[in-house]
Amino acid sequence: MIATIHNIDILLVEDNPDDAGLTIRALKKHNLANNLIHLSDGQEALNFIFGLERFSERKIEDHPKIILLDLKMPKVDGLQVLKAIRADERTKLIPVIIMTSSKEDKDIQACYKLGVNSYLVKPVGFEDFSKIVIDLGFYWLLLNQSPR
Amino acid sequence: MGDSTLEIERKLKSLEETERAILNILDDYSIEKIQAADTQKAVINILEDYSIEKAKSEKTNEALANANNELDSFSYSVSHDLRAPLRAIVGYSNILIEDYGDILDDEGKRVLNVIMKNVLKMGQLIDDLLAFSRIGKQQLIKVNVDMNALVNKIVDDLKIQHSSINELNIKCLINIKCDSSMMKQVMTNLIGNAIKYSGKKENAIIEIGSYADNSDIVYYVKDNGVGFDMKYYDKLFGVFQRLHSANEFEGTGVGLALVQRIVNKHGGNVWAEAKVDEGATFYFSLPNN
Repeated sequence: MIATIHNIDILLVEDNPDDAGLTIRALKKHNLANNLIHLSDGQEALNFIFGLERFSERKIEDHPKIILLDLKMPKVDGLQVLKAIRADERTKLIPVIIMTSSKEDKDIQACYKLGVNSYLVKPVGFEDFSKIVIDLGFYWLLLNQSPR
Repeated sequence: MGDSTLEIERKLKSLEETERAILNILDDYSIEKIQAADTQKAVINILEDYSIEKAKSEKTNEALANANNELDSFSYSVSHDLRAPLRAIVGYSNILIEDYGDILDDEGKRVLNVIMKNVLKMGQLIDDLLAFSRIGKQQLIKVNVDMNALVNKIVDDLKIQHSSINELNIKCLINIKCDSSMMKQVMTNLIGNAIKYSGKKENAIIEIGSYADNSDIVYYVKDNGVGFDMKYYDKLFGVFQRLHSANEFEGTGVGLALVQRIVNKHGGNVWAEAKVDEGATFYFSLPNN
């Protein structure tokens, strides 16, 4: 259940519940998951960002601090979500970090062409995976200045 | 009067001879004509065979292109879809240890570690297989490569992981035009193997050198480690083929297959010599152009 849908730090868009579980656990361990919302497909993500359907209470200007975006998702995939975010003046500045299993050049190229802020590949090893999540949490939420 | 009869007879004979000669010529001519017709038929047959072969090879090319595309999507699937469940197994096993470690006895913890070790190995296998399949479709980008610089960088990286190298004898290597990132993979695999398989030797000595051989440059990596039995030579470069058990030396069995693939792609050859417990030398040649 979603506790709050306003003033979100992290919007995690990930269709694999096991991966999401690992990501959230790693962030929670370091107190980075306090204002996190997890959605399981691209359509939900777009509804959330643009305040549509079940998120119609949300204001578009209420940007999440960062969006952690998976690429391969059913219905609307990560690339389409990224495209939609960057295409709209009201949302195009939101920092987007792709987190995916794909190391394929064509995916990396396509994401950077659309103006992604960062592209991370999920490693198989759990320690490596945890470390990446924690590192990115600290960097993007604490170090990096977001354009709010 | 007698003369003219003789004359006439002579003329007749001559005419008959001429007639015979002309008939012979006509015969020869029809034989030649038949032969020409046969030759023409043969040439047409050859042309037909040629266009059949051409059509066949075009079909084969199309089939190959399709197969390559299928392989690409297969590799892509492998890289994405296989890794996700692996990550879950590792991750959630870790959670078990972290959150329930105090309830588990030593055996329970050991079992979990076996699970995780195998999953990580599978992840490594997937990465190796992918690297192997990618080489197939990669274009060679040939540049002048400073082989000593390349080898030194690899050794520095490897030294961080393996401190057991006693003696590393890097000769002055001949520079060559080749794909530098692929060559880095070749050298990393060969040098890594040399280090790995001399890991159990007290005085491990590894030598890396090169020499010219006609129009090729030959590079070699020599170690005095555990070597292998030349009896199994034909398995040496096979994918997943190993000549030592996983307990003795870790590895996925793709390293040498990758070396061979890259070297062949450059138009060169790989070969090796070894003696059990005395060491092995791996050679590869590259055309020098």
